[in-house]
Amino acid sequence: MRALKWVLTTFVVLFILAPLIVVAVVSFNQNRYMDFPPEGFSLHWYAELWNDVGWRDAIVTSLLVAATSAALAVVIATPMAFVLRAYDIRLAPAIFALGILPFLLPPVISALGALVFWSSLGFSGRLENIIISHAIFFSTLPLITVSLAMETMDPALPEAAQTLGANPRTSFRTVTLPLLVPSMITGYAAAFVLSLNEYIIAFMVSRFSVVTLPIKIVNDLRYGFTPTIAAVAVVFILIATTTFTLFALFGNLLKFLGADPAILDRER
Amino acid sequence: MPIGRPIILAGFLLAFVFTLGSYLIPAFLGRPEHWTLSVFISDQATFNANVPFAAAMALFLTVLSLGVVGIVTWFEGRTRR
Repeated sequence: MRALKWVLTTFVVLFILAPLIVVAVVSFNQNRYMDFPPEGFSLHWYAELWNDVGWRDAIVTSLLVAATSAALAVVIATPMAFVLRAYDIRLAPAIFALGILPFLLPPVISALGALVFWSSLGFSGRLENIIISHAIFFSTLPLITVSLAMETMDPALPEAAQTLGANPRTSFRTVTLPLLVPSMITGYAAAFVLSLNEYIIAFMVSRFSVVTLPIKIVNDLRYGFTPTIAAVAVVFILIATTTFTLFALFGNLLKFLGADPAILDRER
Repeated sequence: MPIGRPIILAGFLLAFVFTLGSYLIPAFLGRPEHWTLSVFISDQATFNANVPFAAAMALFLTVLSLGVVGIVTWFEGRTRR
């Protein structure tokens, strides 16, 4: 039974990691083909990422979109999460369900909605459109993290502040909001990484005139493989793993992934 | 198993919706006859400029995924009682 468990775990880990390992190894290839096992070792394709104007622009665009849309997503989601939990609203579950609906549906539906919206407004193919569409789509993540924080927060804390004479505004600013900040940051990080990786919404909203990193990768893949794509993939993996490792170490990632805080405290 | 069932069902739903909407993998690895609805919708909307057709398929996809989510949650809620 124990051996079986090990074999199973090894297979699962291998299946998940194998594509990443292949991509990482290919990115150090010396020639420009998808040779595996690779021939020679070179960092040429990483230099290409920065020296090639097309790739560099795509990286800068993507970082800009991810940073601003994640911030906007937190700004949209935090008041919503707060109001839904702090006040007695009859339709609160329905509104919350509406908030997480984009994640219950295939993303192409949100993408088509955004496409129709922007073209009916007469603005199409602009950078701001991608930022706003991503912000709305990914506001789901900070909505979930901040709602969880609201739910697990001790209601005695804001009550104590108000008993001590703070008006609702002061108790929100000095008690509730600081308690929400870690989950706002967690939501920001999740929205940032997913926005960086998002293809279909960015592609359909961009109308071929804005190129984010995933769009650039797909466009290049249509004309055949270059190791630069593998190098980009490795950079992506590094960004995502460092972000989430930082949050697992310093933030409360486990709690927001659904772990029971009482159990986490006991193990600490 | 009974305690873990809601979580297993939630995992099933997530994987189901995720795969139902998968776009990049079928678009790259499959020939046009392997395309998923997602690829087809995006293809119609961007390359063929046939937005109404794309919207109709998107609505179908919406109903399909919400239907599955609804049925599974309803089933789960009913059997728990």
